[in-house]
Amino acid sequence: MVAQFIGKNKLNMKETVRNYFSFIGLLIVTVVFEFLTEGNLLQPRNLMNIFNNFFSIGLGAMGVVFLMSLGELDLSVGAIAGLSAALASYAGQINLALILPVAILTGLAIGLLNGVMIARLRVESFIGTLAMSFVVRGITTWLLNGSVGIPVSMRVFDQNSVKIFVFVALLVALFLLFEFSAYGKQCRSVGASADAARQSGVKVEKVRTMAFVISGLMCGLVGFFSLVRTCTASSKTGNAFEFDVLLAVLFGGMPLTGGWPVKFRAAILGSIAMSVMKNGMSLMGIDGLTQQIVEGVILIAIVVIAFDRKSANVIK
Amino acid sequence: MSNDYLCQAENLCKTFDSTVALSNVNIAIKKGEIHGLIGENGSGKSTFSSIFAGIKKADSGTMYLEGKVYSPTDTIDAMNHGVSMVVQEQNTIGKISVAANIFFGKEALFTRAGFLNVKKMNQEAQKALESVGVFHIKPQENIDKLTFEDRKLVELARAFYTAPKLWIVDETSTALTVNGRDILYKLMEKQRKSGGSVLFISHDINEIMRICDSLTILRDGVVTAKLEKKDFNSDTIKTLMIGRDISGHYYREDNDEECCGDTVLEARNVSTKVLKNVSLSLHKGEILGIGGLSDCGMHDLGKVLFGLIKPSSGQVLKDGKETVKNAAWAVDKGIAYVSKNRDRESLMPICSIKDNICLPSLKNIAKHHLIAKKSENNLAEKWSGNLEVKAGSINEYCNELSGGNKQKVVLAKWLAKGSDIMILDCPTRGIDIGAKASIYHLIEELKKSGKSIVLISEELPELIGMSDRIVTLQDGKISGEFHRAEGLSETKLIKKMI
Amino acid sequence: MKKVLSLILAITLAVSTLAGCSNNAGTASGTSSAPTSSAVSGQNPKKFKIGFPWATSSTDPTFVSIVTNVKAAVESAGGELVLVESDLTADSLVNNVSDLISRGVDGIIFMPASDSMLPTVDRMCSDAGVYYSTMFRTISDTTIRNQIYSSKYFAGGCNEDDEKCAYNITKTLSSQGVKNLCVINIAKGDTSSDLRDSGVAKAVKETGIKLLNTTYGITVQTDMTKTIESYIAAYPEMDGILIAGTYCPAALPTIEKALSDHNLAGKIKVGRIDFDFTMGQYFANKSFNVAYGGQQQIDPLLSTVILVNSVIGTPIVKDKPFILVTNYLELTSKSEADNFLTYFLGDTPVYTSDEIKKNLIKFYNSNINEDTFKKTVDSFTVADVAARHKDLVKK
Repeated sequence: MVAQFIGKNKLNMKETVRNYFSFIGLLIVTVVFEFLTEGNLLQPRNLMNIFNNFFSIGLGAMGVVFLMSLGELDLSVGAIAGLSAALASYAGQINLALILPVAILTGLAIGLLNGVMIARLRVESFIGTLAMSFVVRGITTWLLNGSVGIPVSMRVFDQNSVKIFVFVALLVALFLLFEFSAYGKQCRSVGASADAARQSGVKVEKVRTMAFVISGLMCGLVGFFSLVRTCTASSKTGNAFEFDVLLAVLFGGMPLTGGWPVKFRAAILGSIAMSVMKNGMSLMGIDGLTQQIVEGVILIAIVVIAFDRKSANVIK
Repeated sequence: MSNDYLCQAENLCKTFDSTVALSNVNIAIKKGEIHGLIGENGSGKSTFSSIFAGIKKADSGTMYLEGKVYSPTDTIDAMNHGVSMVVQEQNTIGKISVAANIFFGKEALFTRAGFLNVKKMNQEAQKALESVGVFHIKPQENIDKLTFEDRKLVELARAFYTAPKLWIVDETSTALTVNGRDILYKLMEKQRKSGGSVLFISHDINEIMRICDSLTILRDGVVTAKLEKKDFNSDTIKTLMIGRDISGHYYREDNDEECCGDTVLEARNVSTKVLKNVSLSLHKGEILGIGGLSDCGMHDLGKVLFGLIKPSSGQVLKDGKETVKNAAWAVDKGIAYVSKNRDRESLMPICSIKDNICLPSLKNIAKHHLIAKKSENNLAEKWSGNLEVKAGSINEYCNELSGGNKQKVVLAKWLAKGSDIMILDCPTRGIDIGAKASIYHLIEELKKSGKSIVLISEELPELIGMSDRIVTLQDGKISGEFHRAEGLSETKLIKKMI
Repeated sequence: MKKVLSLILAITLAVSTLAGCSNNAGTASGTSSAPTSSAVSGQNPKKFKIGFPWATSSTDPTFVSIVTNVKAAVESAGGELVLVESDLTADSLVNNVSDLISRGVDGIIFMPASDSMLPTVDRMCSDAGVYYSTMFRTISDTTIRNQIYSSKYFAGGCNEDDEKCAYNITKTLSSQGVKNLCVINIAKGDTSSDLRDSGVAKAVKETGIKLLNTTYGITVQTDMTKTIESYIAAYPEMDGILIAGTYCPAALPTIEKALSDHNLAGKIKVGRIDFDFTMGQYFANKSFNVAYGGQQQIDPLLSTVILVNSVIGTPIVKDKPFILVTNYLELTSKSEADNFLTYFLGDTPVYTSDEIKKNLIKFYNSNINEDTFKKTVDSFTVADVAARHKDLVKK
């Protein structure tokens, strides 16, 4: 009625910016870098480079959408990818057919551990997954003691057609799961208010655990594809992957607090934008440290523009 | 302006964007008076109080305090003039002590050469608390450890310490238990006796009639009436508030208790931290009221019945056979729960009406595990329509709705699910008269259609008016049982509660 | 509106991705120079670009000198060096190669992280018609070696006899009196690491030295210190430390400090494969005793020269990759160390562009062949560089 309409217009403006932000951001990044690299950015061959980069970040980002809609974080994604690649390469010594299943199962298993730790033992996800990443990386290093290779015949999986197919299939499946299934809506509900969700009959612990399992699964796949691309698994596989993924989703406008404002497209658009940025900077010959500075500055700019800082918490 | 009046507002107007909040409002408060201000949600009472307390500025009109023009720049300025306010929501500052809260902004009183004399501040805080009749709170305690009610009491102590001339109490009583309200009323008495005045804003007609000396009624930003105590009449006030006559059709019209069917939900020897060996049964088509003092354990009992709290001993059975395991199980089997903590537990505020309504029913409307937008929309439109939820569209976020509408969304959610057993905890708390009436009507309809309802409430008239049977709890134990009858009075119930 | 926008974006991306898919082989990058017929002296070869993924953010003088030497080789025939930052892991290197190919380089020089990444690199380069060569590494795996050696686009590269080097340095340490030795090596799985291990093992068998422990893959100074300290604690009989290889920056100073903190500097003999710019002072106070190295400049230089020759159409060896074994130099004195510092780690490469152009680019002199290179390698010493560049380099 009266007086409830205060500030509603202001809210709409911010909502609009946030909603379109991911699109606008991507467009700006693409145009800027196309210009700065004198047209090299959108050459077909380079687009494949972008796609390769985008492939892993995209898989990782899609994997974390669910747990981020719960308001959680997963800092162990890189470590899981590394361990999956390592175990898979050892499995490959026994039988080539085991490589893919072992990679996926490793991801699932660690994801499940994360889920149980966070949902049932109630460990804060930021700390829990960070600790898990140390443990898992340690195991990986101990296992590998350097690097392990797999037969080159596995490289057949590194083809672009395979990757595109896999990516699109996963994209469709996860998109449907997130936006249109009961599970996806339950995730967002728990993120919005765990108490309210529980009192509406949602199995909160199961939902939370499942989200981490999904993330783990995707990381297993990322590990697999990294393995077949270089045919090498090393303790450095997946290094800093979690930051790439986190940056990508933030760049796509993912709210850290989770809940209903979370949109699936944040993962995709953000990953594309990240890949375009990284690739563009490479093409321009910018060295690694400067790239980091640029990424950091852009991240701060995003937070300032698009985030509702009053309700955002990184560590709850 | 005559000397009798402490303060006056003349032709106050305030518009927000395109909505008129106040239109030529004239209110006069005498010295030594408790002046009530009542109106439905959106009538403008909060706008008025925030203007008077310095939070907002009026567009036009004048305010007077003790004969002089009064126009505060902010709340501190208002406080310095002797006008202070206590509100409904929580207004303490977390993480610091009780004493720090009481003297927030006034630390200079205890600071010498840059050092804060904490001991002295605590002593003063103790005095402040005692002067408002609060003896159980320690000044050095961290405020986060206190219950909601105790925090409110700290706010009272803070407001009172400044010995205000005009004390505005905005909807505070709804947040307090009987104990808290007692303290509040005593303070208002004290204020009145010392020559100060109180502007008491509330929803509760009975409370207003009991306490106030005179009353201003607002409707849609306009003053519809000014009444003196001798003219107070419940029906008149209701009508002036809403603009239509709803006298008599408030609670249930019938006075018979219907003989109800089989036991649908039963608590057998349930014990928790608060409850001690509680056993009761809910029958099909029955409205079972549960009442008691605030900490008697009735709110916990509601949660136990729903499966949210696991009893340390005893069990809850559905249809005499199956044990209620947890909330998810309960919902699946058709049990609904409406928490008294609406914003935190019954609803997801930053979420659309549609998503709130559909949440328990997701698996029911899914086809091949996927849910079409159309199915969601249909379900939500149907039930929000049935309950007459006032909102622009079902995609509106719930945090923008009024209390009454929020509660309607919650009820719509359970009706959409088709739950047969409904556990309602303080379902009309903080809701204005008009919405309350519709909710009572709805509860009656639900009973007639065969649903079984547990009604937990702190409002005795509500329990008496709506229940087939009332069970009273005292200190975690069942103390009495009453059947619906013409002559059932509050006194009889209270005797069993204390 | 949101839906329309996302649909447009999705379609655009899908279309361009599919276009890129079908358009994969060599067409896009533009400047893949096919090998032209042999040179005519007096002319210059076509302009070309060589890509080099490297840890460009490192300020370690050795790392920097490698870039200097590669650059000299590239520019000797009029080419342009394209540097990209890499953390030198298999993953990054593969991505670097892909990026460089998109940037239209004609050749890529790099240090492989593993054997198994080479087939991937070979496929990418062959598809794009880009030559590549490796530095510092051989290929241990026979299948992969056969595949790479028969690839048209693998120009070759240098490597050292890591095993012989490790064998020699261990024997030198033994002759200096070491009986109980601890070793620090680079991460396992790296071919050099394995070869150095076997070299040490051979020498240890012959000389009767006791090999107490080997630690692999230290990259951070704090870990280095911890390792040395645990060696000191666990093996009081230790009298020799061999740094068979490490990517840890400032490794020698870190170890020397750990030793001197425990008053063992000078009492424990220290040897290192790969020279270090801090060697001089430690030689002087006898806390450092033998170093094998100097290949860190000549290897990348010659590897790049081999690549450049192939790129400009005058490969040193026709139809086969040119694998060149470069020698380790032995240093045992401060003056040698000082010369090393001045002439190897300064701004001058060990062979200037002009020297390379005159002596090692076949385009300008068709008499240059494998033997020329082998002679160059054999005559390469610290003294040789000092003599050649004594007027060039300011002390």
